[in-house]
Amino acid sequence: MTELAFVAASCGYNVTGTTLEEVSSHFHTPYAAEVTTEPTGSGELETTTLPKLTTGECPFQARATVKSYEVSLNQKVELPNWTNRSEAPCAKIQDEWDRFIGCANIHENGHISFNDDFIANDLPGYIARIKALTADGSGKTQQEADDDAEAKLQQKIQEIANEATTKLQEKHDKYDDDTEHGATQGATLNTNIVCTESDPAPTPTPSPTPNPTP
Amino acid sequence: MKTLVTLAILLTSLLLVGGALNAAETNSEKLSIANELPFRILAAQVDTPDGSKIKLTFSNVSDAPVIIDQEAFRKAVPSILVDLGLKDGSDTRVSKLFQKPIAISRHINREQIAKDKARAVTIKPNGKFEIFIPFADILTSTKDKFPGNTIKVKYIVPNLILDGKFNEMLSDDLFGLQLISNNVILK
Repeated sequence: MTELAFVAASCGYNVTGTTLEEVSSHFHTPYAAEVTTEPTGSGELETTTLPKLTTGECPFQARATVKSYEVSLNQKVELPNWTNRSEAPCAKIQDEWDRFIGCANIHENGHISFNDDFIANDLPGYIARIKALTADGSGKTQQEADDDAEAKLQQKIQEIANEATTKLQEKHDKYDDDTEHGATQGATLNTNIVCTESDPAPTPTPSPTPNPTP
Repeated sequence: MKTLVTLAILLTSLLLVGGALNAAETNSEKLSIANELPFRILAAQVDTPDGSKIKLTFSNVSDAPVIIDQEAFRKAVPSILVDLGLKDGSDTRVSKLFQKPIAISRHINREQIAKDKARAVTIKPNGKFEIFIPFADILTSTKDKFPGNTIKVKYIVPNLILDGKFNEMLSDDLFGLQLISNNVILK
């Protein structure tokens, strides 16, 4: 069984305007670009009846184990797409936009590389830990004992899953701190650029499509 | 370290409450555990004109106002258990598990959220906050894939609490809490 699956999608959103200030007013807040990683875990559990105790309020016993577990990661890359770039008043403004998008791509690709590294080096270990989990439950009836064992196992799995996502989140947060969310890589749009009469005319070609490497 | 220990104790306590609230339908005595905690989350399936939805209810049972991030409710992630029945010729029950751990995205701190009036909602003591979550794809596809099977869903709400005063908890603990709802058995 494949224990890891990875789906990447680029989800640009459209922005419009004839000045960079107007275009930037349509940016998503608080950040114009973003990589979101949504993990989904799935597996099969088995709950087995254990010998009933002869004393106590909850004599029925059960043990839940993980028979299989796999993880898929859905990665979404969100970048702005200036739809009417060709209507910019001069080429200088288009150039600044193209520079900004190029730098934003570099920054977001950095986030993607952390995901790639996590999938290759960290995730297999977390999956192995989950597959080794067991949990015992008890109850006044066998159904209660089964439910108790399953709930405890479910929670143990969730705790490891959250530990994994926290570790990956910390790597992304450190990268954002180190790069000031891409600012040190040039991913800040200079909205103060204005056109003068001597500036070259705008080019009709569309803005480069954001294309981060999955 | 103290923070971690406090968090671990709270999460454990919260799980106990989840179980207690479930059992409370048939045994109200178990509700006493909830009285030791400052808040609770209940999940229930409700039918609306727009279709079936999950209703999450946050109740502030402390004696101080609590500020929550209502966007966190929309990011609530389901943990689903499908009962597949007994293995042939045995007393071993097989279940299928689907979990969506918390999504990883750009970090937004508590201060940034608190400034957003559309997100930061103050819940008075004994007050409630409800939100309706349309059935997520994973729930719908699970129901379609396993018709007739019992499907239980728990909801995990990360980073819900923005501010509040709860016993000796440090304020920094609140934002990182991952709150777990009771089970909902899907109709």
